[in-house]
This record gives sequence, C-alpha cells and structure tokens, in this order.
Amino acid sequence: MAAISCTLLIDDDETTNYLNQTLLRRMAITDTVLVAGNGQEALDLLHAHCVTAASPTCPALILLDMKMPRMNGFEFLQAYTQRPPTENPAVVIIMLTTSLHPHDVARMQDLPIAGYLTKPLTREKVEAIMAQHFA
Amino acid sequence: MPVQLDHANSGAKELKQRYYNFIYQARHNLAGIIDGIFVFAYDVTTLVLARHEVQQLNEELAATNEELHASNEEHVTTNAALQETQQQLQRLNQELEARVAERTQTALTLQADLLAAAQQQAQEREQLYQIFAETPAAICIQRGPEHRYAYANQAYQDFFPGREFLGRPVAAVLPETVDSSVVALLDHVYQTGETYYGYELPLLISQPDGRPPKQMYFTFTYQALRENGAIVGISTFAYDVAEQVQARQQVETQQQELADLFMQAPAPIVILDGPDLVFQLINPAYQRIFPGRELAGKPLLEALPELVGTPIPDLFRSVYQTGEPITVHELPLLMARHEGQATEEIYWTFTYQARRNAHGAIDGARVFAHDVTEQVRTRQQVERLNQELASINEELIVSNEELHASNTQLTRTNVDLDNFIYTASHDLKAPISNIEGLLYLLREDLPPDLVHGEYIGPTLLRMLDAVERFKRTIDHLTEVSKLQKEHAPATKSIALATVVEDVQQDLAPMIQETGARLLVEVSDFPPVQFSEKNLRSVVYNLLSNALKYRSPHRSLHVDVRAHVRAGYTVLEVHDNGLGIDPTHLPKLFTMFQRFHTHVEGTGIGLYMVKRMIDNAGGHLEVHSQPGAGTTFFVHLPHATVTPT
Repeated sequence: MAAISCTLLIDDDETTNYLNQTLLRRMAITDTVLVAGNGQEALDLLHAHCVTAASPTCPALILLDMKMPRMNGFEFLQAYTQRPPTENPAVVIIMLTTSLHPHDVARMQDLPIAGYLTKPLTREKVEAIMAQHFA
Repeated sequence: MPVQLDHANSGAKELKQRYYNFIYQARHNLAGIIDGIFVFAYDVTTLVLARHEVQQLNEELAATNEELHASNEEHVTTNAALQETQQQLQRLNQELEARVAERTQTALTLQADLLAAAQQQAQEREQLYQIFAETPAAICIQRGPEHRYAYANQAYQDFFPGREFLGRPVAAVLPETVDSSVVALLDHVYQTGETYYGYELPLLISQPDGRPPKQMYFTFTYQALRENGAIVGISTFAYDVAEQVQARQQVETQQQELADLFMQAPAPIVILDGPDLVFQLINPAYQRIFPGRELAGKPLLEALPELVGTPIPDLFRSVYQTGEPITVHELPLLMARHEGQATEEIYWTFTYQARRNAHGAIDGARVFAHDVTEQVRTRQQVERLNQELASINEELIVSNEELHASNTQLTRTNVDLDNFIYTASHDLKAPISNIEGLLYLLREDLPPDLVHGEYIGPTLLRMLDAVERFKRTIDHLTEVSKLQKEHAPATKSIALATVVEDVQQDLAPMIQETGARLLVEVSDFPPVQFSEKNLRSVVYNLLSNALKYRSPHRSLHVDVRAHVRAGYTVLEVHDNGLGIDPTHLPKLFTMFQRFHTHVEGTGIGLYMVKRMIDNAGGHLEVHSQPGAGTTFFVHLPHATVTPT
C-alpha cells in the first residue's frame, strides 16, 4: 500500500498527464491515479468517487492545472468550495503552472490550495510534496 | 448873426432886421444815430441896436466938438463976437451938456439892459452845460486847428481818467488818438465841416496808476462848430460801446466755435428744418458719406428719394410727434453715394433728436448719423472667420475623436498584443516543459551507459540546453510584456550610489571572475526620479554588458561615474571592451538584436534598458569605438523632492 491511496491529475494536456502519471507510478507513492481533462470532469469524478470521504478512490492529492477548457483551475476551486463540506475529502491541492506571473500568483492567494509548483513536475518536486504533506 | 425873421408869424412882407446868437448841435439817440438837432438861439437885436445908437451918438458928439472948436477960434478972433457969442456958447454948451447927460443916461440904460441880457445868456449857457455835464454821453468841444479842448463833460473825462483837458490840444491829451487816425478825422471835419459819424471805433486807452490799458469802442459824432458861419471847432458826442461790442464779439466767438464744432465734428451731423425735413445744415462729415449728392436746401425725401418706403420717414414722424429721441443701430439702407448712381447697402447707426424753437415747439430734427458699413462688414467677416474657425474646430474635434478612437484601438491592440505575448508564453511553456519532462523521463528510462555514452549523452545535454534557452526566451518575452503593461511604474527619489553599490555586489562573482578593475564614483549626486527596480535593472544590464563584452586582448577597466546636467544626473558606464561597430549602433536598442554569439544573451537587455529610461523621462546615449571601448550615458531625471 502506497503513501497516497488516490491522486487526481487535472490537466487538459494529455502529455502532461502521461508524464505525471508515469512519474507517480514510478515513484510508487499512490495506489490509484485518476485523470480529469478539465475542472468539470474533475468535479464529476469527485462526485462519483467521494460519496464517502473514506473511499479508497477518493483523492487525497490533487495536482491542478490552471489553464483548461470548459472549467479552469480557478473555477474548479470555486466550485469545489461550494460543495457540502462532508463530501470534500481531506485533500492536498497543489497547483501546477507554467509561469509564476504576478497576476496569477495574486489570484492564488485566497484559494484553498496547499501550494503551487512550476511545470514540469519532477521527481524532486514530488518528493518535496511528500515530505511536506504526506510524511 | 443878422437874420430877418417873422417872429410873430404874421406873414409880414417886410421883415424887421434882427440879430441872433445861436448854437446848432446834433442830437444822438442811444444807438449813436443822429435824430435831431439841439438849437440854442438868443435874440440880441436890442443889444446890437443899442450899440449901434451909442456909436452913432458918439460920432455926432465928435463932429459937434469939432464945430465947437472952430466956433471958439472964431470967437477968440472976434472978441466982440466972442463976448456975444460966449453967452450963446455957454448956453449952447449947457444945452449940449444937458443933451450929453441925457444921452449918456440913455446909453447907460442901454448898457444895463445889455448886461442883463448877457447875464441871462450866461445863465442859459450854464443850464446847458449842466445838462451836458449830467448826460451819460461824452461831450466835448474842441476849438482851433489843434482841437484844443474848450469843454469836456464828466462822462468824457471819465473815459480818459487822469488827463488834463482844458486848453490843451487833443494830440497832447490823447496821444493814443494820433496813431489811430482819430486826429486826422478831426482835422477833416475841421477843414470841411462835414459831420463824421464814427461807429464802434476801437481805441486802446492807457490808464493811470500802472493799470493795464483798456480796450474801448466808441460810437461818436464829430460836428463842426461854427461861429458867425466860420468853423471854429468841433463838437463831439461819443458813447462807449465796448460792452456791447465785447458782448457781441463773445456771442460771435461762441457762434463761431459752435459752427466750427459742427463743421469739424468727425461725427456726421445734419439739421433738418420743418416738417418737410429740409436739409438746413450739413456738416462735411455727413457730406462725405454722400460725396456726389446735392442735399442742401432740399427736403430729405426729395434729396434722398431712396428713403421712401424705408423705416426712416416713420422714425422722423415719431420724433416730430413725440419729441422723444430715437437711436437705431446698424440699420442697412440701400442708398446711392453719388447722384444717379447705383445704390449700395449702407449700414447706419444714428440718432434723431427733435429741434425746438424758442417756444418749445418742434420745428425740425437733428440727425447724428454714422456710416458703420465698414465696421459691420468687418464684423461680419470676423463672424464668418469665426464660423470657419468653429467648423475647423469641429473638424479638429472630429479628427481628435478619430485619433482618440485610433488611440483606443491601438491601446486595445496593445492589450491584445500583451495578452498574446502572455498567452503565447504560457502556451509555449506548456509544451516546452512537457519536452523537458519527457527528456528527464527518457534519461531515466535509458540505460545509464547509453546516457553517459559517446552519442546520446551530448545529445541529451544539447536538448536540455535548447529547452533551457527556449524557456529563458519565453521568460524575457514575459518580462517585456510586463514592461509594456507597467508603462508608468511608480517612481521615487533614489540615491544613485546605493543602486550602483547593490548591483556591484550582485555582480561581485562575475567581476572577480573577469578580473575587471571597477572604478565607481557616483556619490553625492542629486537623487533621481525612477522606479527602483528598473534603475537596478538598467545599471545591472549596463555593468554586466561591460563585463560580458570585454576584450580578450587587455585587462578590463570599467569606470562608473556621473555628472550633472540641467535637470539630469548623467550616469556614465565606460569600458575598454570590444566596442560596437558603428554600423550596429542604429539597431543597438532593438529587441532580439544580437551582435555577438560568443556570449550568452537574448538580445533583450539594451532594448529593456532603453525602454525603462525613456519611460522614466530620461534618455540614453552611447559613444563607442570598436577595439577601444564603449561609454553609455544615462540621463536620469532629477527627483523634484529631496529624499529624507
């Protein structure tokens, strides 16, 4: 059994999802990886997998992209906070961005996220997350 | 003078001879015109006859005496006869004596009568002089060819105060009359007997006691004074008419002034007489409006028939009826300036006033009329120009709006461009970070001997290096995009020395590595107005450029100095490096322009430096010589407020 039961990757870029999925699998830190192409799909997955917060396929770590079609990262976070608290698992949400544009950084200040990282995700960055949130 | 008069008007054929003494004197009315004659006549017949009788008696007595003498001689020679005749003689003598006594008595009586008559005459004369003395007219009598004063009444003496008259010739008493030919007049009257009537003769009469001479005017009569038919002198009646003359002169002067005023007035004035408004007076200013038209003496509507049918006749009627003046501004009337010529539009500003006669009744109109055609036309032109200006203005406003629209469009385009750069950098970053990630993945997946092998290892390294360069370029693009957005970043008062010192510390490893000798002299300069981050960036870029583009042939010297120009502190960064080819200078500050390939760079540094300096109101100059070195002059605007 890995350190994290389930990790949700939310990104519209399939290559990114492939890379991150491969990295997480190689590092063997998560049992399940769920992949959503945008915020709405992610909400649907949460709806399906987190009927009880203790469900093994309810994500404990979410890696969230910002720029996505249909529902972007910010919109997802807003929708997420609207959900009933009982249905929201104890989850660590990390934003993955391509830039640290001051404008975007400012927008992240008030959001329920544990941190943000610039892409690409690397072994070192994942290890840092583990050390900080899942030790 | 012996005269035969019919005293009793009895119509007797044979008139008795009578004797008269008399004076004829002209009587002047107040205007100085002769309207009668004073006659002073005395009947001296009795006196004359008595005198004649005495003379006759005396002659008879003398003859008788002679006869007596002859008889006496006869009596002496003839004693007897003497004796005899002595008694007769004595008797005769006694008779004679008695007769003489009687005659003498008669003569004495006659003389007494004569004396009484003379006394009466004198008394009458005295009365006459009394009248003369009291009359306000100046009267004098002069006698002889020198016109010696025989008489001057008080009024006459008052005309010439302080003079001695009686017995003295006129030239001595009134020397001022000599030059004014008065004496010549007197001479003429004296010689010819023709009465002279003087009218308002001016005489400047000198005054005693140092008073200024007095201008007098005389209206007078010189009349020959005759005695026994012969001219013996001149009688003068004179009035001082100075007051009248001066009053009249004053009135004349005033009238002249009024006339001058009227004629010389720059304002056109006319006086129209009577209900037909006949041009009575036209001053030249008015006539100049109608240089070629005959106006004087003609009724208004006859002289200027084009006024019929205009408001003018009604206006005059109104003034005539109400007496209220009327002022009209800029009334256009079609009138001809020359008789018979085409009419033109003349603009008038005028005032009509009622003229009243002595009884207050309106008997004419006064017109003050200005031809304001030129002013009106000028104003119309100005108004037209104003309208043109207004329309130009409107056009300009439209242009301005268009410019504003263009500007808005450009701003929007700029924003779009910024967004594009932002989006592009983001969209480019995603794949490049994927490539980076994939490279890392690949490197992990490849067998270690391959990774460190002869071919794959360097290939991977170059791929990662290329990815790195790609990312840096995107980062710089992002920086440029940020710079565009912060067109007017917050500036503050900054001490140049502090910034240079900070940058110097940041670059310390590179300075050490290059072995450059750095000389910094920027203390004690006025603070500059700049964004601190940008100034740091400027100094960093210039200093790092100096370090990067050093010459391999000599040790690097970098001097950082400053000097003050009006309103600016000029930062100089001088190096003895490679220098810049003159052909490259025009493109030196262009984005992504690179002239050297041996050094790391993106071609963005100097572009950013120039942008930041220009945005802060400064400017950047560069002097360079290939193979010798380069100097950048950064003109940094002074802070308006000294930092505390």
